Amino acid sequence: MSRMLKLQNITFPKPGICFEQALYCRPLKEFPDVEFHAEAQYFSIRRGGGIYFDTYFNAISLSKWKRYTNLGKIYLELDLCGSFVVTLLHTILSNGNISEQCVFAKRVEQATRGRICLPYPETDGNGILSFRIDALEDDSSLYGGCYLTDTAEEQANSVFLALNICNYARDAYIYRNMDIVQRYILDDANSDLRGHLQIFIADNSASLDIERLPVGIAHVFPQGDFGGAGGFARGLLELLRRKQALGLTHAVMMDDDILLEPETLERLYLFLRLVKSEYAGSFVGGGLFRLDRQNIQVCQGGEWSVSGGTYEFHKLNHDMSLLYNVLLNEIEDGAKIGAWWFHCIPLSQISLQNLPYPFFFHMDDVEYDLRNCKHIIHLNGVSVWHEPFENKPGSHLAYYNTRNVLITHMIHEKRLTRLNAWHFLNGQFIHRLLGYRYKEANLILRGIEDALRGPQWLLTQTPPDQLLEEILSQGYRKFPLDQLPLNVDYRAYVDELNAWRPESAKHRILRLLTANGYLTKALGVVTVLMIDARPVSTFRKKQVLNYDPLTDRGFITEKSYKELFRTLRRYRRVCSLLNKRFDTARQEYIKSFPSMTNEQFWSAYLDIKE
Amino acid sequence: MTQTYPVQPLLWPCAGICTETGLYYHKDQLFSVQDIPTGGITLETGEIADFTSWFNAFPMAKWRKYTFVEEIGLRLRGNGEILLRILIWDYSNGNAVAHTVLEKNYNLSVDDVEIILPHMDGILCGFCIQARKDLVHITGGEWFVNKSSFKPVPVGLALNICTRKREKFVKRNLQILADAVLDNPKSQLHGFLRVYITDNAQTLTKADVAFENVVLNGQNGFGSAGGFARGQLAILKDAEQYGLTHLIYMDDDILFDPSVVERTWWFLRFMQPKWHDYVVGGALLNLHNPAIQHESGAKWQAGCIASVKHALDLRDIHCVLLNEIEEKVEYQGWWYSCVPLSAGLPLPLYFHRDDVEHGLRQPGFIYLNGIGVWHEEFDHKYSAAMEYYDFRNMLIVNSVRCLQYGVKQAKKDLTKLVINRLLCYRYREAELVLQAVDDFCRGMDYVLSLDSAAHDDTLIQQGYKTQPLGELPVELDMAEYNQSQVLPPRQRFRIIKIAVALLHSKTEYAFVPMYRPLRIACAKGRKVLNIDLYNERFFVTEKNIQQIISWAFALKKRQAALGRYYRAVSEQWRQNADKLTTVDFWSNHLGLHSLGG
Repeated sequence: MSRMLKLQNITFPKPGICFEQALYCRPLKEFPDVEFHAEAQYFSIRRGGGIYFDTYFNAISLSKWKRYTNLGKIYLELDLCGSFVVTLLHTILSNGNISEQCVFAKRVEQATRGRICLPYPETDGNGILSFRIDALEDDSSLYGGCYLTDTAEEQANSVFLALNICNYARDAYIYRNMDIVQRYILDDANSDLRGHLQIFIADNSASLDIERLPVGIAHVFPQGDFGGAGGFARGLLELLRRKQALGLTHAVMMDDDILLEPETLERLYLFLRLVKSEYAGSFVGGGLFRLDRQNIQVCQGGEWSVSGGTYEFHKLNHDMSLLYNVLLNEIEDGAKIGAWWFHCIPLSQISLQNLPYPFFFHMDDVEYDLRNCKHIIHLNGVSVWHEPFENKPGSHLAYYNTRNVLITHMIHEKRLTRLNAWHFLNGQFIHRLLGYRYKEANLILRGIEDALRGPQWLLTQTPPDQLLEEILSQGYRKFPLDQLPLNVDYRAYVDELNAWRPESAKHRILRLLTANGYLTKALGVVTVLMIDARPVSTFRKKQVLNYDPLTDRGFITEKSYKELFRTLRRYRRVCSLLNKRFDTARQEYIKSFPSMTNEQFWSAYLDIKE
Repeated sequence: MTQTYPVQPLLWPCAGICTETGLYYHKDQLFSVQDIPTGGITLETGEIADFTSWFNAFPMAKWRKYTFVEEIGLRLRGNGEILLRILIWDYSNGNAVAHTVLEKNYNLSVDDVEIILPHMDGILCGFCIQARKDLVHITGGEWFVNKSSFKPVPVGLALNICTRKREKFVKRNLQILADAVLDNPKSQLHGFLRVYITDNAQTLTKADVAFENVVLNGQNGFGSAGGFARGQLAILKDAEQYGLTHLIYMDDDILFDPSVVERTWWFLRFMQPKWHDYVVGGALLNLHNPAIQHESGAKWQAGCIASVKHALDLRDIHCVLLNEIEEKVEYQGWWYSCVPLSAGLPLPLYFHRDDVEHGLRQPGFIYLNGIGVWHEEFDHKYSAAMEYYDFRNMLIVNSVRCLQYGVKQAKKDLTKLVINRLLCYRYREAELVLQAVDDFCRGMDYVLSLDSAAHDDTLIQQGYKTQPLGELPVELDMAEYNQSQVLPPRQRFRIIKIAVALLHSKTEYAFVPMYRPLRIACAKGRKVLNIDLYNERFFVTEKNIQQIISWAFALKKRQAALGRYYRAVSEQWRQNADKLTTVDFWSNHLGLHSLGG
């Protein structure tokens, strides 16, 4: 039989990366019947013990592999020793219920460590394929395995991945991820990706030590702080220039502060090798998981909404240790774009004349996908961990998000009217006012003002980090809690985090009638999340403590009629500006767009010396 | 010594067919999936396996009632020392009651166990095995019967399968049958079973069905009724030559354990002559939830269908017992329906309700635990064209078999159905129902001339086109989708509630299941995303008060048409029903005379 192609590896929890066992397997019994040896990466199982592998990392998506790849018959290969029953499973979501069927079972005896291969019968429909093993005698061990297919080697595509990372003072994170790549891919003789990977890092803080990065694989480009957009654009530019020489086929946009499961890269590579020609131009998006609770998926893909004016996440906050959610994740429900925490772009779809827009910060990924992404695929197991968003706030985001969203809308959304833009402004602005965040409300207004100044103004902001400094100085600054006059009510904070408090219709009406308490006397203090102060929480409160538990810092905002009226006056001016400048600014953005996304522009903007 | 007959061999979970062990036996300790590869069961010292299950309990009461059987026995093979306990289960005042009739130690390593049960009344007979010492392996066994004064009659079975573009399923089922019976000389049924496949799409090749005793007929455009009739004609023709006495109507897309056919065959061999005309029906189990029974027979009730023994969890002994209690059944779906050859041919209804009409002609139905098949949930097989066939054929079936069904009831049913569809914003379905009334009112000859593959295609075109879920305009809200399937707890003022929801839809999009959504769930949205999660497809429907009003006027017209034509047309169907189910009619209808068939 000719050599079979690998589809994905069976992977185990890795200390230091992810030890959330339920993402990898579900033992039927606890220790000592099932024991995991983390260092040596194998399971020892006693008679009567068993493990399910119908999990986020170890099940294989039948429907997606069938739909998007040249898939032949599927096989399961296991590396084991001892006596087992191996049961092959097919699991689907049928009318909202999990239906798991055994499609094949075999008794396996391996006196010494060796590999066995079992075929999956041809299976109709969708869902996932997985397996379960049950030990028939003590000291049986499972060392790993993989899913294979009998597709001919000649049908496989040639794939060469280029990681494109933008770093700003996250050197420790970069070194950690590079160590992972080195250990699990570059130093692993069994890795299929080995020899098909290059790494491009745009170092916006010019602080990385190249000696600590994989030799001959990593390319580092120190530069000034041009934000995420400048960093990713630099990476894309450099890798597109070397596309022919290195044989690169895909760029993988990756955040600097993520944590990477090496199987994610491996799986992406194996998937792309078998992708059908009609899907060769599809982007592959990565899921985003929380770093503090590693089984929680923040989102998997999303879409851009004109009415909401925001990036709408899909598959939000799913606990992926549950089989139900693993199956739910398999359903493609209209996610159209992905973000650059982990995002694979086929180089055939982009060029040096088609680089990111110089946004500096935020929305560069959305704009780029709206322009280039015709179709996106998400796979279970292709994902990264990232610090929770609620711990990454900052007033400057209010400015950049508002400005860049409006510009993105003006460039790409023909249906966008002045009225839409006004609605968008109101949505952002009023929320901040009700949370007493007057500085952020002002930054939102400044975002609109700056967006309406047109692209030429954007180009005059060099170096762009000067503007960032200015914006930061206009926002709130976090202080250590001991320097603040208020104490944290941690229970209220947790309630706020879970947003569980139901609100009665009466209370809602009361809030509406009193302009969320502005027309009544304010009393007391409340602790809220740094990322957002919900109007219902700040209702009739005098002071608000905005708390960040990660750094144990916070800032205080306070109800102030003076600030309110001052901000409202500025709001009136911005509304009038919006009315006057909207159409002109839009035309300018559209007209100048090609000249601001090509190689010449970026070379000059980033001051790249040949 | 009297001869014994192994009428019910013990069955084991089998990968690829069913691994829901609770349908076969109940065992606490080791995971029984370990026994699947080899069949049989392994018990450790002290461990107990209870075989009082849907597949392996013996339906004693039914065998005593319908057959000549007097003595019943149990045979077990394997090795090791066991304690065997035989129990007779009965139902008393809603409680399951078990009487132990035997408890004894045996050593299977020395000899097989063979026990004749004492005569006792009860519904089911089950048994438990406890391993006494070391490991015990039970490798096989069976319930057997003996009767010295009666010899089982010869029975020849013919499976009548009608298929259309389901090659994979048909090939899989044929392979299962070939391994177990057709190519297996050890099988008791070997030589007494033939398979007749009618391929309505002509996509099966001879190579696909190259097994002994399998006959393939191809035809085009006669629907499932035509397909089953074609198979039945071939069976009738071959009956004498091959000694065929019964046929089993069988769906093409089911999954079954081949022993089910063997059990049916043994049962028929011992059946008393007074029950010979009865139908032996197979229960319908959910393919994706194999222990859940969809139905064991059904009641027609002039179009108001009710599944008998619906949603029973057959892992539960109470449900297994309940399943044995006989209820009124009016028809048996043709996923598995065994009838004598004298049962007659179906009415030419093209598609759907042919089994209902045929069932209403039969004198009675028998159901046994352990005889059943698995089938996909109907929710996964949505087609708007069904609305047409369901309503038109309901009118025809009621015309022929339910004389009490009159024009008043027909109008009421039409009104209910159309309003329901309109409130779900499914205007195309409402149109198809109204078209069904039009076609029915044009008379029997028109309907017979109409039914063809081309007409079927037109109806399918008139329905909704589904799209992949990936093209959904908004993110799928699973919480709302799940909520849309929950009936509101208070049914009071529900018409008012629906009307209010309709006039003031709360959201832009409502998420509902594609198959039979709730009106109240649809009315919540201005647009409705009708979702089939299994096939990952959807279509969008939209609130349009103008359309609702215009179709309501169209409904009024069809009510008038029914009032004018229903009596005459139904009389026409009634008078011609016997002619339409003869061999001559079907031979002509299928063009077999002209082919010299």
